Amino acid sequence: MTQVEHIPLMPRPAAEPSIKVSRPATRLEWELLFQDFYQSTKAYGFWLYSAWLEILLNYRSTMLGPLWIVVGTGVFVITVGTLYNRVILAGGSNIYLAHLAVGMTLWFVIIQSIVKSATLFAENRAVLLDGAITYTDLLLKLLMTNLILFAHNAVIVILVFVWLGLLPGFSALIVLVTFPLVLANILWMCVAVSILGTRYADLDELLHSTLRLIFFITPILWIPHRGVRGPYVDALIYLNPFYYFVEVVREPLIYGTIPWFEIAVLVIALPIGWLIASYLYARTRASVALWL
Amino acid sequence: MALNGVGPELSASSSISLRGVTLRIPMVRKGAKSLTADPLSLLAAFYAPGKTSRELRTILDNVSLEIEDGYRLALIGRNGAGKTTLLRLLAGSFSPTRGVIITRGQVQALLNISFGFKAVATGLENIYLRGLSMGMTLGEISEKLPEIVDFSELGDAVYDPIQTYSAGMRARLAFSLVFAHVPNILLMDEWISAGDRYFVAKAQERLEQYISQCRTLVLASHSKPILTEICTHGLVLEAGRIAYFGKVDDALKYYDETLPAGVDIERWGRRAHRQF
Repeated sequence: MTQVEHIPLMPRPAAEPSIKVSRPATRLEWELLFQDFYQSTKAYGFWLYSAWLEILLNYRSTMLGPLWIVVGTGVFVITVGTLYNRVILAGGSNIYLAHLAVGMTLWFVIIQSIVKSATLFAENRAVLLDGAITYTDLLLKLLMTNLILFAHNAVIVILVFVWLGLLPGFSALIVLVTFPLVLANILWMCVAVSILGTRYADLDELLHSTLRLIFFITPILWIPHRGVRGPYVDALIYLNPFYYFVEVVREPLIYGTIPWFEIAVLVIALPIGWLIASYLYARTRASVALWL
Repeated sequence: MALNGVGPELSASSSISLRGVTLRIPMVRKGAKSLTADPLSLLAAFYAPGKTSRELRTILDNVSLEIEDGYRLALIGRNGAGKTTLLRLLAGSFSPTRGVIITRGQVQALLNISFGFKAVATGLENIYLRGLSMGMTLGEISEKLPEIVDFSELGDAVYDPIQTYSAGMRARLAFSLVFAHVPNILLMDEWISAGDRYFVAKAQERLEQYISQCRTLVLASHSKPILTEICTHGLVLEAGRIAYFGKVDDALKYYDETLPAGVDIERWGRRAHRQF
C-alpha cells in the first residue's frame, strides 16, 4: 500500500526527451521509406561496422583472408575468359577478358544484393525485434557488404586492363554517374524483394532457382553486339533488367561508347522503382515484424 | 505534438502512454489432422501445403494505460497473456493495429540479451556490434570500453572468439554491455541471471543500481519475490486485456486469486525461485 511512496521517484533531468508516437497510419505515408533511410544514414555505425565485420569473419580462419574473393574471381575470369575466347569467339576478341571481368564484378554486386534481400529480415529477426535496428539499417548493411566485395573484385578488373593494355577513354568517366545509378536502382529492388521475400518465402526459392538462367541470358559470358540478333534475342536482351545494369557500366569502360538508351531506361526506372518500393514500404512497415 | 484527436495531450509526468492499443497478428493455421486417423496427411502436408488458413488473432485488446515517470511496472500474467508482445510494442518493433503508443525518452529493450552475438567474432568485436545494435554510437562505445571490459572480468579473453566462452562468460559480457548504457525507459523480459554466484551477486547489485538510474522500468516476470522487491506498480494481463492495474502487491494478490485452483503455487513457486 505504502510501497509506492517509499521508492523514490526520480525523474532524471533529460535534455528535451524524444517523444515517439507509434500508431497505425491514417494515410499512406510515402515518405516513410526515405525518412528511415535518412535516419539510417545518420546512424551509420551499425551497418558500416557489421558489413565490415561480416566479411572479416567470413575469411578470418583462412590464410589469404578476403584475398580469396580476388583469387576466386581471378581464376574464373582468366580460365573461362581464355577458353571461351578461343572456343566460342574463335579468338576473335582481344578484349573478351575485360568484358568478362567487368561483367562478373557487376554481376556479383547486383545478384548478391537482390538474392540476399529475400531472407534479410528473417535472418536478422532477433535484432529487428529488439527495436533499435530497423529495416533500412539492414538494407544498407547488405549493400555495403556487397560494395566491399565489389572493391576486391575491382582489383581483377584493373589487372586485366593493365594486362591487355586497355586504356579507357574520356567517355569512361560517365561510369562515375552510371555506377551510382545502377546502385540506386538495385537498392529499390532490394527494398521490394526484402519485403516480399519476408511475406512470401517462395520468392527466395524462385530467385535461387532462376539464378543460373538469369546469369546465362545476361550478356556476361557473351557479347551482345556480336552474333545473329533477331526479335527473339532482342526480346531476351531488352526485357532483362540486369542487361541494363551491366551495360551502362561496361560499355563506356571497355568499348568507349556511351549507351544513351540503356542509361535512359535506368533513369526512368529509378523514380518508378522508388515509388513502388516506398508504396510497399509504407503499406507493410507495420506488419513486416509480425511476419518474421 | 498534435495527436489528431486521440485524446488529451501527453501529460508531462508520463513516460509511456497507451490509448486503446490493439494488436492483431496474422496466424497461419495448417489443417490439423490426427496422424493415425489419416496417415496420408503427412504427404498432403508436403505436396499440398495450400490448405492453410490465415486468421487474425487478437493478442492485445484495447489496452489503455499511463505509465508515469518513476514507475517500476510489473507485467503479470500467464504464458500467452501478451506480456512479451506488449514489451515489443513499447520497444517499437511492433506497431499497434489500433490505438496510439506515446513514449517519452530513449527506450532500451532487454528482451533477450543473449541474441545478437556473433560466435566467431571476438569479445571486443561483439561489444562494438552489440553496442551499435543497441543504439549506442561508436564514440560512446569506445569511451565506455574500459568500463565494459573491466566489469565483465573477461581480461584478455576479450580478444578470443565468443564461441570459446563459457555460458557464464557470455552472460557477463552481455550484462556489462547493458550496464554501459542507461536509457530513460528500460523494458525487461524476465529478470536476467547467469554466471557464477559471485558474479550473480555483483550483477544483481549493479542491476538494481542501473534500474534506479532509469526513469521508468517495465518488467515482465513470473517471479513474485523479484516483482515485489523491484516494482512499484503491477499490471495483470489476461488474454490480451487489462485485468488489473494498481500497486504491485495488490496486483499480485489479484493474480493469485484468479489463478485456477489445485496447484500449490506457493510451494512450487518458492522452489523455482530459490536461486534468487
